[in-house]
Amino acid sequence: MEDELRFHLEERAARLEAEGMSPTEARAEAERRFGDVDRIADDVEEMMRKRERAMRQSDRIDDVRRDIGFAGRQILKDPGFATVAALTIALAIGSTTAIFSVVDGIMLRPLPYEEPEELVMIWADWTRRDVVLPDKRREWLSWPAFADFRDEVGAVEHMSAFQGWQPTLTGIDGGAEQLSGASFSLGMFSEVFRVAPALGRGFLAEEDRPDGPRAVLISDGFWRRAFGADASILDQTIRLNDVPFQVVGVMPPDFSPPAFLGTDVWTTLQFDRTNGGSRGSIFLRSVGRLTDGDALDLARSQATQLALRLEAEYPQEARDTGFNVYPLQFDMVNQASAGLWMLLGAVGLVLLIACVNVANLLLARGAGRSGELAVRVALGAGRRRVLSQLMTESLILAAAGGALGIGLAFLGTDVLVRMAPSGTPLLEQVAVDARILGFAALVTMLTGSLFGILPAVRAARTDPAGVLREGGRSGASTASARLRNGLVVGQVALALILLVGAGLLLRSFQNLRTVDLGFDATDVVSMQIQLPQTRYPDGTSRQAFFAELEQSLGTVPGVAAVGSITNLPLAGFDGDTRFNVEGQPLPEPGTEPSVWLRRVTPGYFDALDLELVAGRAFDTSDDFEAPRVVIVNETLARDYFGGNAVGQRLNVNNPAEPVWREIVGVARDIKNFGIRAESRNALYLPYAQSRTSFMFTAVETSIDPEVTMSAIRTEVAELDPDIALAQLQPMEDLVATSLAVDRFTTSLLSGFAIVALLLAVVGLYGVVSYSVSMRMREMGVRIALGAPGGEIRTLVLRWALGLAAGGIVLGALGAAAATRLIEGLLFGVTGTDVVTFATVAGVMAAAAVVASLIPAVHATRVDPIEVLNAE
Amino acid sequence: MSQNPNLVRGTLDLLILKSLTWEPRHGYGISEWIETVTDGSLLMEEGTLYPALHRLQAKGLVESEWGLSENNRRAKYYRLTVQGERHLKVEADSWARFTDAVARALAMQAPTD
Repeated sequence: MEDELRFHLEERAARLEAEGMSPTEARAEAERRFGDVDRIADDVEEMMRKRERAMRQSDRIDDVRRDIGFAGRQILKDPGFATVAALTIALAIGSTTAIFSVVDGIMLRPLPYEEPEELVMIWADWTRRDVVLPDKRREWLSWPAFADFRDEVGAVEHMSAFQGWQPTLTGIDGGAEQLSGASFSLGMFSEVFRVAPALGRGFLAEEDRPDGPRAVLISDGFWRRAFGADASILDQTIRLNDVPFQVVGVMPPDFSPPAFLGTDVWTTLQFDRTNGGSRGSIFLRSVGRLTDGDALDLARSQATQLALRLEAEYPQEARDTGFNVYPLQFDMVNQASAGLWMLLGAVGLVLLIACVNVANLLLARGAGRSGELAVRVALGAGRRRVLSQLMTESLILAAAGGALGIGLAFLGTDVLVRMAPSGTPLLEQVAVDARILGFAALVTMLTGSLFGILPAVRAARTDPAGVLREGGRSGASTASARLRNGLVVGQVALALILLVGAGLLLRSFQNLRTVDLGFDATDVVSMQIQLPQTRYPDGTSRQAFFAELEQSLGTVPGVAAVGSITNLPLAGFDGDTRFNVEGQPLPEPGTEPSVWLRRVTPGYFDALDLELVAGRAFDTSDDFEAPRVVIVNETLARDYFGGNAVGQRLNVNNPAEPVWREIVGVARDIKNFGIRAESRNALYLPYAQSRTSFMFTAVETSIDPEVTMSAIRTEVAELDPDIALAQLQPMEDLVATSLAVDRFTTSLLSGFAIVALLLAVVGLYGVVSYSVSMRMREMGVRIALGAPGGEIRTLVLRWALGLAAGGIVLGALGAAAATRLIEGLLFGVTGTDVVTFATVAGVMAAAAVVASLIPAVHATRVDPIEVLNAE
Repeated sequence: MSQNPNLVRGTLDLLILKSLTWEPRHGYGISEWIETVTDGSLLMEEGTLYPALHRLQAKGLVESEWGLSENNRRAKYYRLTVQGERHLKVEADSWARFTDAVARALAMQAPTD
């Protein structure tokens, strides 16, 4: 019980005793008069506790308010310092936040679908097979493999297989248009993605049967663009590839399917199980939904079981194959992730360097203020108070920088999104929102604490007696000087790591750009043409179309050569093709060598200046009736014919019933799979002997490509107005696109490295010039004693370069370790490339000289009389 | 006792403040003073004094300090703050007006024609 209450009771009892009561009676009477002792004691105690808490809180608020006011005044006292510090922080926080917003949108934010963690992609795993494939972990599935997986892997609850679909839309105003979309088996939207059409209905079972009614779902964007959001579209048919499709539904506006499903139209696969369902015909990709978000491991082990069973059951077709199940998001961003993580790491280093810079500025300033701080400590300010005041200053600086930085982040994110290579997944999810602002605020606070803590701790440790005795000059104490030097060394090291990374990427990029593609893309314009099955049902009509097209394009002014091919170089893979050589033992079924196959018209080699190293090109005499011929590339000619290929014969696919084709020429190896890829087996067939409806046409022109392109549009429209020209572009753009990701990461990393270098130079300059100003007296004495200016200059330079050298050595060690992380991004250069390391070290050393030259010269101009008089 | 808690509370606060106008007192002292000056006619539980004192302290009308009592024991002494003095003055005035008004009302005779 509270002493106060006990005192009352005892006093009262004493009084009553004095009036004649017995002690027991007195005690009881006192309590009776008092009332409910326990309750009152409780009440009083509670009130006291509350009051104490309120007092402590208001004390703390007062402290904070005073700290902020004080810090604000301190900052305003030195606006130059505040501006430099805040701008440094703003730059770092702005770029960190901008990069983070991209990383977040693409890799961290859940996909915009219901229970996105349940969505997976299912691939065939061909890593154990010896085939020419761009990515053996992501091979497509055959229909039977898809059906087995769907029926047997219980952890994948729903699964739908799809094929890309780029139909040509005709019959509406504005001419033919090529759309993007997909055809898939039932359930893709309704069960896997769990979205229903906003208008109309989904597909019916009968619409997915072979020869069932043709139905199409359209996206909200396409509906608005092409039909002005007219709801009566549901009663209409649209012509796609010249076939009428019933529009059955419009998807909701906020539904944006993954890029591989396209953006405009979707239809049913109508797969005919009774024919074309062989295990060897792989043409499907598939998306599935797990029973729940934790079922991935289960799905994988069930998939392994299934693969083992299939291998045993179909030793030929399923040999050495497995399944890969990847989370959808991982699958989509896989390509982008390495570069993005690297950029986030790099921008983190820039942030760190900026922190070190500001910390160093604060340290120097703290040293200058040691007199003031000493007085305050001497006057009774606790170390904790001094510490918290200094930290408040840092946090205010950081907050100012952060606020500016957030502004920069908005700009930066915008620029990044616009700069990002086309095809970057999920770019539409990238936005600066509350989540990003929270991140920026967190980074700001962290930054403030990081750069503030060291200087504050140092300053708070000030020994007031010592400082005051020395007249405030002990700011240049060796300990804090050592700390500042250490920070500069660290800063130089960090900047060096970034410079090395940027240097390596630049060299890689240079290598990539100068790679011999094997063909000449300059002055070539290319386009994609798809002939509708209805009007061009057979080889003869298709061949006639392309012959006429090439002929009429050949008459366009400026055009030097025209040729067509089934798929352009750099574009990659389009199906697994096998071949076997006449007279050589037939490999085991399924192990025939794999080859990249293209069908070309005679003009193709000319249009791309693709050299033949032996034999001849195709000509018009290699037509449908003529003997079958083939042109192989150098790799194939070397590996299978010892270089002497012309005149030999080979068969493509189906070794059981070979069609022998005579090799009439050997073409140079070219970059078919992409610039980074090694050369593989490739062969060309004459288009006239294998006539497809889907071709790319390349036109070599000697005039402005823009002019040629508009002439091409006119010619094609005259030939057949219902044909959509897709991807009409200079081929150099195609080459540039294939380097877009490298260009993006390289230019960003270079930007960061330059910022890092500048920050390091500023940091070095700050420390050197500060140290010179602290050593004015020493310099003055030296000059007074007759030291020549050169000697003083050398003294300062040597000292500064010593610091830089320390940083360079440390940074080189760090870089050697760090570049291992980006080795996958490099091309034609290793992570420990000596030239890069040496160049970067040289640049850094030169920068260090520049940074210390001004203070060094300044040191030689010290007027000894003035300095010594100032004492 | 507390037929009308509000009235009693207000009254009690007023009496406490009044008791402190001459000198600082401890809680027991205040209760004795009230008992004496009202001749014990204001019956109340003595314990209610303490929550009231703490309330007044929270409002900043009184402040407290530990000290020694007449018989050399540790006791908490309460003292009127400047704010408390002002408050007492205002409240005492309005109390006087209030009682005066009530008294006048009750003294009214039935109207005679």
